[in-house]
Formats: sequence, C-alpha cells, structure tokens
Amino acid sequence: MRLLIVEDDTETARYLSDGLRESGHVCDVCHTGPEGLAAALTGSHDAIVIDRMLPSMDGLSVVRTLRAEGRTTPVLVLSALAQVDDRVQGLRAGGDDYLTKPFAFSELLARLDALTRRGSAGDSEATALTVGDLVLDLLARTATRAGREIPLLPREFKILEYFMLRPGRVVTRTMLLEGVWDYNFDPQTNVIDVHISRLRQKIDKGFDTPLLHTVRGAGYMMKAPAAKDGA
Amino acid sequence: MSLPRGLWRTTPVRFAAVLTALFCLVLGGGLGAVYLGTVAVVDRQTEATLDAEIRALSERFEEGGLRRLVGAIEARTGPDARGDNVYLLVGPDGRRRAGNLSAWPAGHDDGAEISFPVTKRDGAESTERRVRALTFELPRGYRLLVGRDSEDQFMVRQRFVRAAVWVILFAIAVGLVSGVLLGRRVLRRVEAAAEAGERIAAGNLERRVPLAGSGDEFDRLAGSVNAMLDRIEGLMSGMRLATDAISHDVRKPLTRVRAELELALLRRAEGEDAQVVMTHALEQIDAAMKILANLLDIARAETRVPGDSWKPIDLATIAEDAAELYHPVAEARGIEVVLDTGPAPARGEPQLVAQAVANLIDNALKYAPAADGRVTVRAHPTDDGGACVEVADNGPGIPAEARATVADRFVRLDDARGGEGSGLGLSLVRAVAHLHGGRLELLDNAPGLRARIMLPPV
Repeated sequence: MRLLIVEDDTETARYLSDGLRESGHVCDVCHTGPEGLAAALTGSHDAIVIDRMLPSMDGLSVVRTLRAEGRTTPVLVLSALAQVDDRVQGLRAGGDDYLTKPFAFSELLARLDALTRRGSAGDSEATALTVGDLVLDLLARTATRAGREIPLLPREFKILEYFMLRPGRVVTRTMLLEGVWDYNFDPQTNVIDVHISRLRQKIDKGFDTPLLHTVRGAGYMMKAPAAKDGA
Repeated sequence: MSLPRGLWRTTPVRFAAVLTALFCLVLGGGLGAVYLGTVAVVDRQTEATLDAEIRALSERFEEGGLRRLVGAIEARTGPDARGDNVYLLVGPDGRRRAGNLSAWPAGHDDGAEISFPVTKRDGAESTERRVRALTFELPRGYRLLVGRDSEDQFMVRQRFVRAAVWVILFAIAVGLVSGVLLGRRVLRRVEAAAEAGERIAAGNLERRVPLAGSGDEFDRLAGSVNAMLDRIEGLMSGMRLATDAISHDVRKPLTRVRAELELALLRRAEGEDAQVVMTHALEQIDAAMKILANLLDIARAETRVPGDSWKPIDLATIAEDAAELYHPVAEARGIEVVLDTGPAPARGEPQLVAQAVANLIDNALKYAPAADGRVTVRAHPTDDGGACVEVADNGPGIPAEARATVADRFVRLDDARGGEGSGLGLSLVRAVAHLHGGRLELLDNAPGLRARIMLPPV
C-alpha cells in the first residue's frame, strides 16, 4: 500500500514511516499541513495518516479541503486529544477513523488495514458471510459450521459478523468495542477477551481447525485454514 | 462636610453619615407630622375664631353703625365678659373708641394678622402675654382689631421647637456614634476576612475566615469562602496525592521496564529471550499508559463543560448495555447479575455516562464474592424528575468513614476490598456525575456497596 503520513513531529513521523515500511507499505512523509494537502492532491495514496495538530494548517482543515476537492482517500486522524467532542469533530471533518495518542502500533496497522479494504469487500450486498466452513446467514441471523447450527446470543452474532466482514485481518479490542458496542473507551477489565473466549467455545470447540485466532500484542483474527485463505 | 477624601472613603465614616442622615430624616418627618397635627391645628382654630368674631362685629357696624359696634365691643369687654379676647376700635385719628386694649400696637398699622405682647394686670401682678390678632378696616377710616391671648400656644410651640431641636441633636449624636461603632465592627470583620485572604494567598491554605457565630451575612460570606477554601485545599491535597500515586503507579512499571531492557542489552539478548523481554516491556508500558489515560479521562471530565455531543440518553439502556458487556465476566466468576431497569431519561454525553456505569459494574464484579455473588443493576427515574442508575454488590462494602474519600484519585481500600484495580474507577464516576450536574452516592447495601449515580432532571 502507498501511504501518506502528515506529522509535524519528526520523531513520530520517522517511527510511523519505519513501522509502516517494515509492514510492507510505501510511505510519503510531510511535516506541515499545506505540504500534506499538496501531496494528497497530487499523489495517489491508498490511505492518509494525518496528525490533527499541524503548523500553519491543522489536520482537520486539510481533510476538509481534501473532501471538498472530491477526494475519497481514506483518512486516519491521529490526535493527542481524546475528548468525545474532538473525536466527533474529527469524523465530521471527513476523517474515516480517529486514533488517540499514545496508541499501539498494531492498533494503527489494524485500522489502516480496515480502512483500505473497507470498500473492496463488496459485503454490503451479501446476505451470507463465509469463512472456511463457517457460514453466517445475515437474514436468518443464524450461524452454521460444517452444517451444524451454532446457537448465538445477539451480541455474539454481532461480534462474529464483525470478524467475518474482515477475514484474514487483525481486529483489535478497541475496534471491537467501537464496532460492536459503540464504546469509545476501554473498560477497566479486559472484557473483550472473555467475550472472545466464549465465542470461541461455540464456533471452534469440537472442530479440527480453529477459525478465531489470537494475534499476540494486537488482537484477534478470523481466518480460514491456510488452503482456503484467499487474502 | 469637608472631610478628607481618604477618611470619607472608610466604611465607618460613610456608615455614620448615612445613618445620621437617615435618623434625622425619620425624626424630622415624625416631628413635623406631630407639629402639623397639634400646634398648627390649634393655630388654625384660633385664626378661624378670630375671623368669625371680626366678621360678626363688622356686621354690627354695617347694621347699626358705630354705636352698635361700640355697644357690642363693650358688652364683650365688660366686667361680666368671658374669655380672653382682646378688642380695640380706633377712629380715623387713631384714638381709642372702644375695647380693652389701651392703644393700637406699635408697628402694626396694617396687615391682616398680627402678633404682639400685651401687659396684663391682675391686681398687683402684671404679666406680659402674647396676643394674636386680626385687623379689619371699617368704612370712614375706622379700624377694628380682634385678638386672642395666645401665650399658652406660643409657649407650647416654643417648647415643641426646643424639644425637637434636642431630639434632632440627640439623633445626630446617636447616629454618628453608632454609625462609627457599627461601621468599625463591620470593618473589623471585613479586615479579618481580608487578612485571612492575604495569609491564604501567601500559601497558608489551612487558614480560614473567622466566623462570629451570629449567622448573619458576614458569617454566610465567610462560610462560603471557607467552603471554597476547603474545596481548593481538597483539590490541592488530591493533586498531591495524585502526584504521589502517579510517581508510584507509573514509575513502578517504567522502572521495571527500564531495568529489564538494560539487563537485556547487557546480556545481548537475542531471539526468544529478546522477544520475552520486549513483550513484557510492552505490557508494562501499556499498564502505565492505561493509568495515564484514566487520569486524563478524569481530568477532562472534571474540567469539561457541557458540550455539543450531549444528547438525550436513557440510563436504562446504558445500564443494560454495560451489564451485557460484563455478562460473560460475571458468568465466569459465578456472579449473578440482576437487572431491574425502567426508562430513566436524562441528558448527557453517552460515552462518558456509559464509561461511568461500566466502571461501577466493573467494581461490583470485582468485589462481589465469587461464590454466591450477586450484583444488582437498577435504573429508574428519581422523585425530583431526574434519573438514577444504581449498581449494588454483596461484597465487603466500604466502611462508612471511608466513603467520603474513596472516590478520590488512587484511593484503594486495600484491606477491605482486596486492593485490585487502579484506584481511579470511582474517581471517574464521580467526575462524570458532577459534569452532568449530578452526584455519586455511596450507600451501604448491608452487606456490600450500593453505588448510585444521580442525574438532574432534563
């Protein structure tokens, strides 16, 4: 993926670009708002990572201008501000996701991955999701694995749906909290792990190949056995 | 008054001046009213009597000429006549024709109403008495004077005026003295407060404004200033505590990480070994960051103002969602979660309120006993039209004396409640409640804790 990083702090910019290159991406780095805007308008990037506070033109103005120019490049806004209002403002300005500093690099990777693949899946039309031998019927709201129906609670169905819309991709705990519960905060106790382990009991227990995997230090991933994994 | 400007600006002097002016105004008004109701009435009556008399006499003159008039006057002044009236009729030459007055009073040739002294003989005694009289011009140059002894009225008026002067002087004296005394009293209390303020500004935060114990406005002012100081002192000590706690809670993991990384460098850790060290370092740093994030959340909730992200919320829905989030945790610990919710509309920031409720449930699940544990989550409207969400557990609870401070940052009741957690959960709940104009109540669930967020009416 070709990514544009707009970040005034050189240390952070270097750390971001190093990390993203390490993960196999190509990175352009800008340090000011106008520079970033020019780069975003001329280049063709798969996604933009932009700091909210930038000298001479703040990140949200850049995003607003970009959107006014009709560019739909996914934008992830980074910010040291975590207030709910700021988050709302960031998304309202045209940002696609909002990440508060300090963040785990794995969180950034997972979110960028989710952003860039958002449109490509073509899943909005699908009435059923399939990963390996697990099928989720979105109309009947049922899950079957290898032909055997798995009884799910409504919330478990939602979690599973969230995973199956992103097969082969890392899903972090905060992504689940935001996407499934609509919570923008981290609960004191790690409740997500407990939910996942219960879900795992239902969909993986008694089957030869597990579908729901733990990605150490990052989160979880739903993945079909290697042979069938197209991602 | 030509007081020096500086003196005029002091409270006692101004107070005295105002008080004196007020006294004089009230007393002057009162005395004036009394005067008008008594002395002035008598005066008017005298005048009316004289007027009637003069009219009657002049009618006699018109009916029967000089003779009739003289006769009438003599009848009124004769030995059997009653009353203290004075009569005098003089001819055009100024000579007396009739009456009991020897001569026309000097200097009073014309003018309708006059007043003059008369010497009255009563045997050997002679007294000078004051007479009020009306004069009347008759045809052919005759002049008539009808008067009345008004010595008594005059004396009364004189006494009245003298008394009034004394009263006013007394009022001025009392006004000035009491004004200065009262003003000084006020000034002393203000000065005491100002002095306390200066001490406090100089850094002596334990100082308080002294109370007189009278419960007056000054006491109320001092009370509210003291309450403010209590809050400032609370915040300051909270901050000190927080600083201590941060240096403990954040430095501990950072120190450990530092040591582990340093050791790993020293022994040139590679492969699996390095992985273990780095993973552990990440975990420690995450723990430290989580504490910082919690502190920031609280600080923001404490300093925020109602923002545009506020919307109508239902505490019941929020409580149900949060309970649902924690359901597997409760089940894993063998704790029964009971939901008892009814629509409880309020207004607020949904995420913050949800986080607060989640913290309460988190706490309750932490402290409810693993065997036979029971957590009750309630949401309902309150009697005052607000809304309330309550989370109760049957754990060890919080001793009554600790409930006031348990919501302060980093307060962990290590003995009573096991000492898990960051000690920030309830701080956030309280900050969120305050932000929404509500409060956090901690009650005894006998056994256990019953924590309740009360939000005001929409």
